[in-house]
Amino acid sequence: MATGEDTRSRILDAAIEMMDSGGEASIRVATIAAKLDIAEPSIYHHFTNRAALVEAAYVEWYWRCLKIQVPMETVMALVDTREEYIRAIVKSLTWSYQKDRHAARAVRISVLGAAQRNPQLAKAINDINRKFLGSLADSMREAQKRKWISSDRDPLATSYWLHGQILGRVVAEMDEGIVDLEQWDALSFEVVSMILGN
Amino acid sequence: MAAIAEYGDAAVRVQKIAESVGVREPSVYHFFKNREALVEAAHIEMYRRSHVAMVEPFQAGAALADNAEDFQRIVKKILSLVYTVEREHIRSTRMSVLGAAQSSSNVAEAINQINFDICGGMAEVFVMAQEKNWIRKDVDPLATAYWINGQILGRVMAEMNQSQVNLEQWNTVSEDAILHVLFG
Repeated sequence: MATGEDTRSRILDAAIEMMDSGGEASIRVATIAAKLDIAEPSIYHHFTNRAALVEAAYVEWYWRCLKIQVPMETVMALVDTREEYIRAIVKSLTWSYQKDRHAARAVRISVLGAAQRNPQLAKAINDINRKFLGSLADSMREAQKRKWISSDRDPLATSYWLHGQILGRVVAEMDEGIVDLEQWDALSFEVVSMILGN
Repeated sequence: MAAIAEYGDAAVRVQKIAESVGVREPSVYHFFKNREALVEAAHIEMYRRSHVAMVEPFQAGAALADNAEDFQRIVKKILSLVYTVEREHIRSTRMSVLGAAQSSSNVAEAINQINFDICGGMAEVFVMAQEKNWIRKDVDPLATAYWINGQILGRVMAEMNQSQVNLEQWNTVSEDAILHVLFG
């Protein structure tokens, strides 16, 4: 017997799958119910209405796509010098810029796009960004304390900037074959190292 | 577009548009299959215009520059025009269109073309500046243009959360980064 939490997450999985293939408009409560072999009212037990379901699916989707390889707290425990710290950040960028992470970035752009028309969703996304980038900012604060990076950078603003430029890669990568992504990445690595190291 | 800019997508009424343009409603549907298609086309056009409004002054400024100092001043000036409160709304629309493009190949195709025209235009300026020794020669002009555009778009995340993120500080990081990419 599936638990309530389990059903909720299966509903979200199904909604995310629909959104992934046909956008927000393709989410149909009846289709989800049929697919999961549950009654439509059970969906409304978990989500007040379709809009609430769409919003929850966006938030969940965004959150899943933010997953990182190594949490910043762990990184900080592993690095001992300024060079190691900057190298760790650049290494995490290298991981981010892998081809198979394109989908994760595209999803984030989709959700951020939807959030521009939905203040409730924007609030939820802001909370996630704040939490996620807050930990990067904490690491920068620690690195500033250890005199590894410049103390005149605002850690949170720098974290948002760093993350924003990662997302900006979508603009280049969505038009396959036009932009030399190796050159794009080289630029990004260099600039990020400069911003942190200068 | 006027309706969207003032009141959002929901304000787009085909009948009103027909009235203000002085045509009958069916003529609107002659150009756009339905209301959704019209809103989509309006978004794409807003996306295009928002870029043109910044790239044209950049190209004009670059044409007027006499030396590296001039050119650097133009770059700084354009950035200060880009990072204004008035343009936050435009960037938000841009993010919205780009989001829609991720699940619509039609929108994506239109957006890719606009991005290419805009970034290509910026890249031409960079090539000229490289030839004149005003900027670094070891950066790829087109990749640089896309990178700059991408990070400008990234400001939306900070703009959405202004109570937490200091935009002045964000601007400083961005300006330092862009100047470094161009001037070393």
